[in-house]
Amino acid sequence: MPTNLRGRTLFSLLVSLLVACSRPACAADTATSLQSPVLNALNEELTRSFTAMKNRHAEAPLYYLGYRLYDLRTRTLTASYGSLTQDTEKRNRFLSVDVRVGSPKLDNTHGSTGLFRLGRLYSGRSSTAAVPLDDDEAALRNVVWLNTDAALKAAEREYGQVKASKDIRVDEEDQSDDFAAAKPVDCINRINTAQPLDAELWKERLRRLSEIYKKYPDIQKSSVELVQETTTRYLINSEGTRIQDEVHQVRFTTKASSTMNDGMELNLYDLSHAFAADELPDEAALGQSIEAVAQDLMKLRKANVADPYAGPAILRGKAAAVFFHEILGHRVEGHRQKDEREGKTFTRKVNEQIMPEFISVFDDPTLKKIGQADLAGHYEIDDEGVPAQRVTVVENGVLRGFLMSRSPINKFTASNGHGRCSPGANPVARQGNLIVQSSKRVPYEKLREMLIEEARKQGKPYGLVFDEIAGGFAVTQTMFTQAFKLMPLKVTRVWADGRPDELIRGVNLVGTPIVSLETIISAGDDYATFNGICGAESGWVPVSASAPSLLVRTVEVARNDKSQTKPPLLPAPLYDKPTSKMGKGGEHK
Amino acid sequence: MKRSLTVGLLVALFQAACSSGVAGARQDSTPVHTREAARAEQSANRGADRLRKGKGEREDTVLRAMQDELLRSRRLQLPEHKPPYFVSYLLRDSDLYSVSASFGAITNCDRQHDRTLSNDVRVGDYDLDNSDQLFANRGDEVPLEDNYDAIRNQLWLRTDANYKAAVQIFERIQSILKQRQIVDRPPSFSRATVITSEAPIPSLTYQKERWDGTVRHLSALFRDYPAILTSQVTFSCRRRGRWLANTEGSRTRDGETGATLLITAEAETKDGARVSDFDLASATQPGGLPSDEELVARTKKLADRVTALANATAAEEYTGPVLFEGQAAADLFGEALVPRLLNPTVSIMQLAAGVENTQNKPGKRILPAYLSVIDDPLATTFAGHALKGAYKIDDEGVPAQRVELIKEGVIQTFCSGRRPGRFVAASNGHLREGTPKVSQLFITTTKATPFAQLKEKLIEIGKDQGLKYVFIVRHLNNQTMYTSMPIDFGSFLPQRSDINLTPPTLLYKVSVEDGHEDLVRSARFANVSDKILRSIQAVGDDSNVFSLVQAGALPQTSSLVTPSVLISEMDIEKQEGAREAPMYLKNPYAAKSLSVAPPASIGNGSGAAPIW
Repeated sequence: MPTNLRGRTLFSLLVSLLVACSRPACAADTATSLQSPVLNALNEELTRSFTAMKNRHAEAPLYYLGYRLYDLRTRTLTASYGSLTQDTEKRNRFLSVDVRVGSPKLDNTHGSTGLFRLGRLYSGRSSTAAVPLDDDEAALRNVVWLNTDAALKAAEREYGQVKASKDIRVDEEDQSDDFAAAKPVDCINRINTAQPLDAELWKERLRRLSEIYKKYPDIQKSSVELVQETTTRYLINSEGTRIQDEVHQVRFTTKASSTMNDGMELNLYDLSHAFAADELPDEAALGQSIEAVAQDLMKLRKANVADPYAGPAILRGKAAAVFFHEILGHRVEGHRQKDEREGKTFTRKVNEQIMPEFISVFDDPTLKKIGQADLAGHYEIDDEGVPAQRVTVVENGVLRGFLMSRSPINKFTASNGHGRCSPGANPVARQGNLIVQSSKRVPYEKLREMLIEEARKQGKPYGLVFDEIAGGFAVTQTMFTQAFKLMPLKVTRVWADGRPDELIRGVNLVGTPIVSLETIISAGDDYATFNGICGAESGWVPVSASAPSLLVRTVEVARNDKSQTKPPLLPAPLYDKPTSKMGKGGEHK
Repeated sequence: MKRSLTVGLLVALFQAACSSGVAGARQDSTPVHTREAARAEQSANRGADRLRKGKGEREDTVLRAMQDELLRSRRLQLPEHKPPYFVSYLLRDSDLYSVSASFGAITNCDRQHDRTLSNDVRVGDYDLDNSDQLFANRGDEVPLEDNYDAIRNQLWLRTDANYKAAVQIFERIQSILKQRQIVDRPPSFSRATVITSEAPIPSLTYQKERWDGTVRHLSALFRDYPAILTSQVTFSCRRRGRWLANTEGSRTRDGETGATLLITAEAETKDGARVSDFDLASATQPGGLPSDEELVARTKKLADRVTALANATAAEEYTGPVLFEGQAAADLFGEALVPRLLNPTVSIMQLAAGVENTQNKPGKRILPAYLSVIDDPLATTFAGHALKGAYKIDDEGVPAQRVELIKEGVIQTFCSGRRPGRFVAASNGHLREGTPKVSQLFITTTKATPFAQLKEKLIEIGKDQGLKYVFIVRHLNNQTMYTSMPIDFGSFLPQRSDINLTPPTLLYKVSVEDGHEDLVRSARFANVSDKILRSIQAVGDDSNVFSLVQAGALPQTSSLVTPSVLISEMDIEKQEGAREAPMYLKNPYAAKSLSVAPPASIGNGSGAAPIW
């Protein structure tokens, strides 16, 4: 399954999708009056199915049944060069049926992580029916019934295979159970709380904003986009959990690209996120962010191409945050310590020093803000119905814990509320708000001096400063090189001999995790937050990572892929001389 | 998966029911000059002149943007390479509303407006250019609005990228030709008359509430059919607009509208097999679809049919005569005959590899002598019935032509686009959605058997062959064609003589003793080859208009007029499909009380658990 493999191995943190995320806390407001017909239908079928089926099969008893239904509404408006290019309104409901047969000690999910299970509902059975958008209980129950039947049959088959392979394979390193106990949660929130988007106003605004790029003849492709997303979630299971909640996200993104004479395509973007469209910056401010992107792109066009290099570097706040998300965050996701195909970089290092003692790291989804910054990875209850908890990952350089879903691992038998997924996928342990702290902090200017000093010490002509990072990915599985790669957008050379700083283009930051963490020299007294959407086997989830600027003894950069295609042969139509006969191109001023 | 495809691709059906809105396309005979550039400029300017309107009227913004970028494209030139000799733009606007419901509730509701741009850039000349390469010229996202600057910007970027690609491919082709001796290579591109026409683009009008209500109501009818596991009713309507311009000077703008209503249902048999069928209604406007009363009746009829199928006996192996009635005959021709009516082209890669298949050529007999086949994109009615699929100009800007494809059983010519084949060098206006397609096909006969006698004939042949029963097909499950992936490998793979005929949904076992009919399920046709067309024993006098679905870049429905067809010998087998154990619990709507199914064996989901 090559597609699965790809999904399993590449964990990208893409900033192109920045997310503001707020799940309302459970304010004990569990009034049944708020309970929607959707939850009623799920409840009816859950009761009917679980009662009827739990004792159906002596050898493969059904011990857990859960439904997760997500109602996702997305409004997208995109404009480019003064004209709308996309105007869509989508609504989808996704139903996932979680069936566990056997016992928590050994069940049908054994040895499989999210993606494997994702595929099973859709295989073999053609009757997986579309989920009604209408709140029609009869129609909803009909679909729940069809999907439950398919999921249960698949689970029984899987359980047979699990038992068979248990008999023929060597004992696994980790003998933990397959499912952790969790307390039921009852939390019914008000839904249908989205503010309707003033589409006409935004269309006009986006048309105007997208015209800004017309001023720049060297920017070939550009766009501005507004996405408004509402996700309503219904979780219910046979343990008594009932959850109904809703999340709103609005993001404004602008992107621009320019092709250099050497074929390199330079891309920059900017984005703003909010809980509602009217909380976004005003049009003037959005216009300024577009101008800034365009100006930065013009500066990058003048930058020199980078050379491969290994030496000291500063990762400024956001870059440092992405660095930690990739090299540490993904490797402390609980289920990876168990999966026989995973590299298990840190599995046996609990209570061991894995980085300098002035660094501590924790993940806390319950935080909504850090300073002034929204944290996109905020949620109160995870997708397995477990309340989110703060997890100490690294304490004074010593590894203390893992991010846990309900899949137990050696010595970590309970979930700490990190089981997450995108609608339609199955939850695994994921990051929420990853926060890096340093007890050793110096002003940024000092950090810069230390960089120059370190470069001199190493006999390097310059050190590097990484400002912004578009995203990156880490490979955690044994069958691949367990490396990471980050894609910086802005990289500056800081010369040891005092020459002025120099912007460079076309590099990737590459490395291996253990070495990279050990070479952190110091941290700045600044702090930055990177909000993004992270993809892994359980789909795309909003996350954040926050960190101070970090001085690292050695980073390695490699040249990135570059297209060999020349920039356009003719100038942009707006900047071309009128053609001889037909050229009444005077429409544009 | 299946359902979403069904819904998504329904979109494509609109070609189908689409009335072409081209108003009086004018044609010019273009002088043939040796100098392409001069010629292109001349005709380009003439095309523009023609579109320049009188007082008050404004030129079409899209066509004007195209015109201006076409002119600039002549200046495209990489060092040591020629500029393009031909550039064309095809911009499509699609505005769609689609709503699906199951079991009385809406499951999908989608309003989608998008535009796609296809851009053909050719370097070299008409005899040899870069177009040999097999790649789909898929459209990019383009401005949704008639914004001159934004459209030009997109045209510029696309043309630039395609010119560079064209130069590269042309180089490769030339190097192949240097290495390999290829004789009698057909030219790359044929000339076409210059055409200019400007018809209005219709707007999309539909009553959302009404159709949402209709699909809810129709889909709720299935609640009374507990044997049916899944069902769906989908209404879609679409407006399409098309702008087309090329450096030869052709300019057109036109549009069309269409509406469809598709009903699908699937049931489970006692042994866990799945049976399904569908019904499709189409029209040029939502208002042209059948009345609610008729739709209710058709929905119930489908539900009854699928319920009956679930209880029917499974097919067994059979070899003998088969009668294809009505729609089934249309489907048979659609699958067995249509692929042989399209201009076979051969690429230089294929010539170099020596894989050309010249089996299909004019002069070859493929049908009995009493059958002829005509394709007529210009026809609008047949015997008082409206036809679907009429158009005046194809996607290369070539006026549609009526062509006699098969005369007295013998191939005369093929439906063609501007890419020459070995036998047909010029376009007859049949290129749509990237490949030549049939439009409205008429199967005519000089020897019709009265319809009522076909069954008698069928039984007679059965008796002669010593059979106890024979078969009649009334419907093929060619719904899969609606949902099939839009990848056309037809021109890529060597032509094969075996035909993968869609399994029948309505197959009746007919007793040769007394002629009574029993519905049979889970059958498929086996060992079907192109010989099937020559095994036609008789055709009826019941010619009628049926829908024909063609897969392609976008599947299209059009019309096929055909009589019923009696085939002297065919193989039928039992269709082996994936099986599941029957549903553990009853449909919650039908269930009065809880019932518990007995356990099935572990690790074997297909265990035959009893029904209760």
